[in-house]
Amino acid sequence: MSAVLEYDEIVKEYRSWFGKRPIRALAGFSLSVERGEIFGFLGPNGAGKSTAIHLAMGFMNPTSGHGQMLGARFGDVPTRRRVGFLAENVALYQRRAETAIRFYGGLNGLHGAELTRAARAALDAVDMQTESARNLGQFSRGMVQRMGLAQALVNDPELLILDEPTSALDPAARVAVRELLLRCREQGKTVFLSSHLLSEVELVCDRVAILSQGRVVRTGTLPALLETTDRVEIVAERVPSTMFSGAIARGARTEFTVSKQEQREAIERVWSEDGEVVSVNPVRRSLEELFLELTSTNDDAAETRDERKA
Amino acid sequence: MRPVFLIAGNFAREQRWPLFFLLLWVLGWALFGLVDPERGPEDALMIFRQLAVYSVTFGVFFGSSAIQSDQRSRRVLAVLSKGISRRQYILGLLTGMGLVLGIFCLCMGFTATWLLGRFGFHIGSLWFGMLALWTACLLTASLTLSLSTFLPPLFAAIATGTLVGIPALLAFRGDVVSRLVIPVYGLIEPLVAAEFVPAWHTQPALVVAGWVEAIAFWLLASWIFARRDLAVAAE
Repeated sequence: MSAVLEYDEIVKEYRSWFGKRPIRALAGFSLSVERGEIFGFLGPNGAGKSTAIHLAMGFMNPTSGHGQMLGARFGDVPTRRRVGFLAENVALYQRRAETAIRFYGGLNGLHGAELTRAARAALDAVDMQTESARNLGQFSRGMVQRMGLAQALVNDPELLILDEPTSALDPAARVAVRELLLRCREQGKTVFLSSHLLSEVELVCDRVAILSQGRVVRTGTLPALLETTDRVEIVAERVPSTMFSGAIARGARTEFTVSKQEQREAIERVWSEDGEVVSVNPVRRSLEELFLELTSTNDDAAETRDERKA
Repeated sequence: MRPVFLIAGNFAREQRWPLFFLLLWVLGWALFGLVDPERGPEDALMIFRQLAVYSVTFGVFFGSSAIQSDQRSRRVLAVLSKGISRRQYILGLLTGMGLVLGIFCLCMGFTATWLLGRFGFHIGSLWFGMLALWTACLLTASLTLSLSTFLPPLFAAIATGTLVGIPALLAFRGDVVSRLVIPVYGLIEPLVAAEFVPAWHTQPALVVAGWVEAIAFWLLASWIFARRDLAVAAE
């Protein structure tokens, strides 16, 4: 597998006037996104997600470090023709929907019949073909968001970089976007997805990275990230729920968790009471739990550092 | 060049309402000639002179607000995420400004030909004067655009006024070389001071200098804009 998007020890500081301390948005940020995967990019507000995306698109320059997108340095103009980008709170020129998509396709070098076909296909992909004659000024926020996706798709990109693509969409449109992303993956495209909607990320992403205070604090496949290694959940029948601390009775079954070291002993206790073990599974956290655990730990550490400095 | 023309066309389309109101002004001037054709040649000439000065101001207006407007609205992100360089983007904006200001100068020229020509105004000088006026507008727009890459619109406009004004002041006091430095004053002076008789002339060297400097300011704007971070409004 080859990296289509790679950040290498990138630092980005926003300098301010009048001797104020610069704000460090990214601090030694490294990340690698492989070809053909849907990569979730998570982090709390102000963690540096948009900064990282804007660096890749060449909207800004890193203070130090470097990176590459599709084998070229960040901001390389010909490479951007192979990339589709949707900004958070996308804003587009107010024109007829098809004309607008033709405009953005034209900027990417498409023209003639090829542009017409690509614009219609992009509108079709986001289910906006019926609205193609309407002006964007008459569209709802969600429709503009779908138009944003269409302009990102018009050049049939190898890499899609999407910053909060479903934030303004209703549940049905979110499902449609999810299916669209999965179709993109089937076609061999790579999707770099920044989102606050963890349930969405959990449903579509192959790998995720969690960003906190300008650094990647965890990266990996979802099963690996969500599985805790030290606890298992045991479901048993015909045993009293009082037998294990923290056990919950659900009808005829009792559910409880123990550490892996205690697993054998717990199962033997169930059997000794003439009970039956129904299942033993590693405990899985939700992505939300993991996200809060990682980002709050970092925030707390930062607060402690700040308190010490003060 | 296709992306440049697309951006230029888009800019002109975005500025269609300001352009419409500018053209209403020219239309009002034409109506003035229709309503009272015999009484007011001097008044018609005075309005012509005023329009010449105002058209340069429109160049400042378009130049100072173009980049800021796209950044504030965040629309620049969708444009610059495509396969175009910042130099092409700036050239597209400048070409769009040239188009809008060119339409204005053209309408002004036709109206002047019809309205002032009847009173003996020298039409040959007028059309070269219109070319000089368009050059002055474009030069001002290019200068303001380059300043607006690192200054807010108001400051860019003030800085343009200062940079155009200083050489103009020196030229006014007789300094020959200053006439060629940002020659906005030199380009519109014959129009502002035009009389029915005798015929008046704009120096071709000033038009050439105006174009060369407009290109230089475009290159400067591109150079600065390509090196700075794109500041978009917070989400």
